[in-house]
Amino acid sequence: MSGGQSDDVLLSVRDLTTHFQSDGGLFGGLRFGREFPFVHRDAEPVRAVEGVSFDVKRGETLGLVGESGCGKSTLARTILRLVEPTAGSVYFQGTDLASLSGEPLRRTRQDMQLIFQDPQSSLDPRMKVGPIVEEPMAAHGMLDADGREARAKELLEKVGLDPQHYNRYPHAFSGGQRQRVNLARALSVNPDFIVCDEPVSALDVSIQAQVLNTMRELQAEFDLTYLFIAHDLSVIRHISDRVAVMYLGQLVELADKEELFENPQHPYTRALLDAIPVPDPRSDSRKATLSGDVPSPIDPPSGCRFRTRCPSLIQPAAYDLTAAAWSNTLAFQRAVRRRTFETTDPEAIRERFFADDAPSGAAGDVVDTAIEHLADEAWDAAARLLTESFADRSICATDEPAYEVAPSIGDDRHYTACHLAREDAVATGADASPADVSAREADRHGQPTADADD
Amino acid sequence: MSDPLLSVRDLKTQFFTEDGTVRAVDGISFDVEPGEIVGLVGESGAGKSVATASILRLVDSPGEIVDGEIVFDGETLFGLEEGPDGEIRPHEEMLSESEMREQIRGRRIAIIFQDPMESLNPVFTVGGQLREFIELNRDLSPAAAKAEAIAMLREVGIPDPATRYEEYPHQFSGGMRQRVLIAMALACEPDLIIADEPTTALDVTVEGQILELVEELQETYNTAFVWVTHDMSVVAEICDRVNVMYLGEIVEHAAVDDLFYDTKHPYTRALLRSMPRPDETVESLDPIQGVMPEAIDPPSGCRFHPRCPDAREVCRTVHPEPRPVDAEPHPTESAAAADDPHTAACVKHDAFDVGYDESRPIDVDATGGFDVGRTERDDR
Repeated sequence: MSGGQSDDVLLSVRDLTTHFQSDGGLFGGLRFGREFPFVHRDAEPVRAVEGVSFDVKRGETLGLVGESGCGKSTLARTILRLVEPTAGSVYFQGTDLASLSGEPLRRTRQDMQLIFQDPQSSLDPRMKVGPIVEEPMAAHGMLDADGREARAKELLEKVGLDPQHYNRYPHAFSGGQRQRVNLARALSVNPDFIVCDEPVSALDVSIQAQVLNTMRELQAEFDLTYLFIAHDLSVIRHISDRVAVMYLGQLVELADKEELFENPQHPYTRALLDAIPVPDPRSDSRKATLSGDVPSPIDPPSGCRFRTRCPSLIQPAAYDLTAAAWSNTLAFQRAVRRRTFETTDPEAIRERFFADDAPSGAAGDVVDTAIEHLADEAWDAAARLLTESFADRSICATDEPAYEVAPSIGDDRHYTACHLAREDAVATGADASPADVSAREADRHGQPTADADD
Repeated sequence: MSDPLLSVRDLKTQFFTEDGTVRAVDGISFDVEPGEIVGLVGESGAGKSVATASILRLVDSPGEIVDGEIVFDGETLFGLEEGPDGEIRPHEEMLSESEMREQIRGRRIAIIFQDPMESLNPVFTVGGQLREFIELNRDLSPAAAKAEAIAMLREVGIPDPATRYEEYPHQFSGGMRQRVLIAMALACEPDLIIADEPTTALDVTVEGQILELVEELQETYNTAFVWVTHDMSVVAEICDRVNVMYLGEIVEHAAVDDLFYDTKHPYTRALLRSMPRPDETVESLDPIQGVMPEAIDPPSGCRFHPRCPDAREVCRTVHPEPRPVDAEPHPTESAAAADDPHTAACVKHDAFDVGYDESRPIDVDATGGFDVGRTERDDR
């Protein structure tokens, strides 16, 4: 199944953006400074999701993976319009959900269901399992009372529970069984599309496997489409057809599962794959780990949001350093900014960071000045100088990346938001949107430049 | 082989509840050698955390260590003996509660918990808590303790430690908080650190950082670890030897390579098979049937038999204790391994000779075992 056919696209997300205002409440947004006026209000929003586009094809499982705080769950909730998007649109079976409200929106929700991570808190402890499963049907006016009971029992059996459990309370079930009740409840209204937000991460491995198998069987039987959110790459690899990787509110890579795991293009995807321990003591797969923490989504880095941690930051065009000199310079700049070393002795610094290869020319002058700053204990000045001269002048900081590369496995499109792909890319910029747009093909006829990229 | 650093023998910890006695840890034995990382792996409810709490005698009422012996570097942390009148009483050499507090906990055996936020006091600065700990346990002056605390923070990879020293726990990310706890655990250079699921709450990239840090520090300080986890990937990554727990018992013990490549217990095998893998696409998972029963009413015979694909009639009645199951030691193994045989508690191995081969196979409950355990007792 190759992309580009709009008729088998179930859900299209276009430039979806969700910001949260942090200035709610009396003291919200209040900031305290060391200089006059000491107290000021700023209303910088948290940019939880920014400019995300993708398509979900009918019958597939799209895996969405990322670390905590990257905006996965906000994205899911925005798609279902449980959170109002700040900008962008979501087309479900061709209808823009953002344009709907009231009753039409409520009716559309019948076709889109959500399964939460915590099977404990997503079930009302004072309701029996049968009524829990029947409630969505009642809300959408499906069937009569007897019909609903019959369907609830049938669904309980389908998800691997005993229909006799109809009259039990959630506390009588284990975590895996509760997640099955959640599945039955989601299925009760006969949806086309289910968003699964970390559905198995609270479960033990053996139970996790049971629930994953059931989810696959149900997908085949009821012709379901899943958007499957998880932080666990192993689970994502098992269940997904295509995988999207998210970092700090944006998609960084989207490709066919095998392509993404075997031929990852984005340094963040590679870092994730390298970081994950493999259940095999003879495997030596875990290599370099990422350093640093995820930056704040209130003030994300310009250009590529991963650039502040990226091991392969591209050197600014203004310099012409050897690879070793550039990586030493980059390590030095980050170490100064994060203050991971103590010494301010110029010789010791040179020995520590530039033992094998030091930058020369203009770059060398900047490094020399920075080392002088450090000798004067002027850490902030050194950090600012290095950041402005190196990190901020990289293409990674000045341009937002969006590329499409030719896949080496399968024929699904492979989107990567990394400038490293700029030479091999088959499409760039708006043309390389991770969405499977047939509109893109239509647009292209009017854009001869895009053809030149192919 | 020299004496182990920690030796746990036949440890039994039970909880006396209104519904009956929960045999959370039911006769486990294992050793930890100096400087090695020993894994304690199992699903939730297997008794891993109770076992580690027992080592430090941190089990509170209604729980109680009822039997067994724990010896740490020659000191009896727990032991029982028979008194002159035949009554069972604490062993004469068993350390008192205050000796445990003053000599063992924190100083010689440190513990790192899963949730770093709960282990740090939110109303004190991170540095203050670390300094206090060092001051109390190492008898340093406040100024020296502060310098030591900052040095420890740098050691565990916290950038700009002098500034971060003044900050509160909520200003640290999860990974950074876990680093603080590692710094705290290492501050007294203990011989043994008990790590109770220390990376479970962390993201993969942060988990990778922490595992790397632990491996580095372990080389520097030669600290032994008891690493409690449910994650076989972490076990493969970090452990030297592994104990697999199921329902309060250790069902298999082996060097890490043997556990993965020469698996002897059906539970371990099932656990390994039910895992999706990051490095290859597994088309269909092979989950273990059913759920783990509760320790209040464990199944007769082998506790795993209601879920075991290899179960036979004899498994219903015979309760296997772990025994060496290697026919002959692997030629590749060092001499030390001869003292540390691969053991498993499964009667299908020849070492048991209880007529497994002649016994009739049991049908593992086709309903997926949903009637075992907790649901059985409810609302009838």
